[in-house]
Amino acid sequence: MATQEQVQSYLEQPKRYYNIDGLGEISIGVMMLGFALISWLQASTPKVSLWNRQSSFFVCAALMLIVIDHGAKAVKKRITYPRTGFVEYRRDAKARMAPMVLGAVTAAAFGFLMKYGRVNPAAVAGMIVVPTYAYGVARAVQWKWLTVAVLAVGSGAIASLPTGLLASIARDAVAGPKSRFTPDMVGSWLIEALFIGATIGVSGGITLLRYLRETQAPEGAAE
Amino acid sequence: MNESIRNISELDRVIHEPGRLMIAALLFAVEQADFLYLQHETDMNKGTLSSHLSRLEEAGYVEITKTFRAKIPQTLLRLTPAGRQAFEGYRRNLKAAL
Repeated sequence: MATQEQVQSYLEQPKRYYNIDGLGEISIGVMMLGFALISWLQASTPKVSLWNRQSSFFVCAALMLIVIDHGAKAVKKRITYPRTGFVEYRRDAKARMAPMVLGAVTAAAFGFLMKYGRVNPAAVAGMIVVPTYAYGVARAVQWKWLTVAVLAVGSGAIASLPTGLLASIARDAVAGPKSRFTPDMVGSWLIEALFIGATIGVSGGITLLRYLRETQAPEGAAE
Repeated sequence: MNESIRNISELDRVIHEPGRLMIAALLFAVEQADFLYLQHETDMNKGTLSSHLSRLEEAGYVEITKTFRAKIPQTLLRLTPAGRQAFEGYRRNLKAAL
């Protein structure tokens, strides 16, 4: 007789399928690199520049997310659906709200810690990303634990970099005397975002290459 | 009668078959999916999968729509409200039985 664990595993299979082609990871990687780029633009341009307006950040972030979402869908339509099948995920409000609320709470907690806690952004980002990635991705694909290890060790190493070195990366950062973000915090965040984006992006790229090599669209009809 | 045994006897026979249980669970978690996806995820051959889907369709649990995607025939499958209800009931009974 089927066990509840088996049924639960079947129910989770469609979620895992989203990253069967590595596009889930590539999307996250591109998003992190995009955030690093926006942060770098904010840090390296004068405080009065367009990039340092809060509205510019939200517009850029929204545009980036739309491009990533549409790009991933277009690739899936051309590559994934003809090879291993089409899935339309559930659109009910509850299913959509949960990750959005979780993401917003995490971002708010991260922002709060950065602003008032004076903690190392690389350490905090690492503590959020590593367990999330381990639970969401590595749990289902064994070799992804290597990515988890790289993320953990890399985040730890970035967090331990000397303050002077981190500050030198964002020396001209807008962190003025009234700002709560010191140049070393900005530098730490920039390197961490680049590192996380590149690592997860490369991991997704490897998955995509393997997927392309191992799968083929069935001849004739998709049935 | 022992409650646990009664719960087992109340399990929906259509869904209880391992192949169909897998199909029902996969479809329960999504809005809809195509035949190719189910074939890939269940590792069943076309004949076996078709036969299970026919049984689920007969029971009114699955809705099958034949369509085209870029001139290629595509079979879309989704659980009907009755299918969702039956699957939820099956899970409840399974939990109570074990």
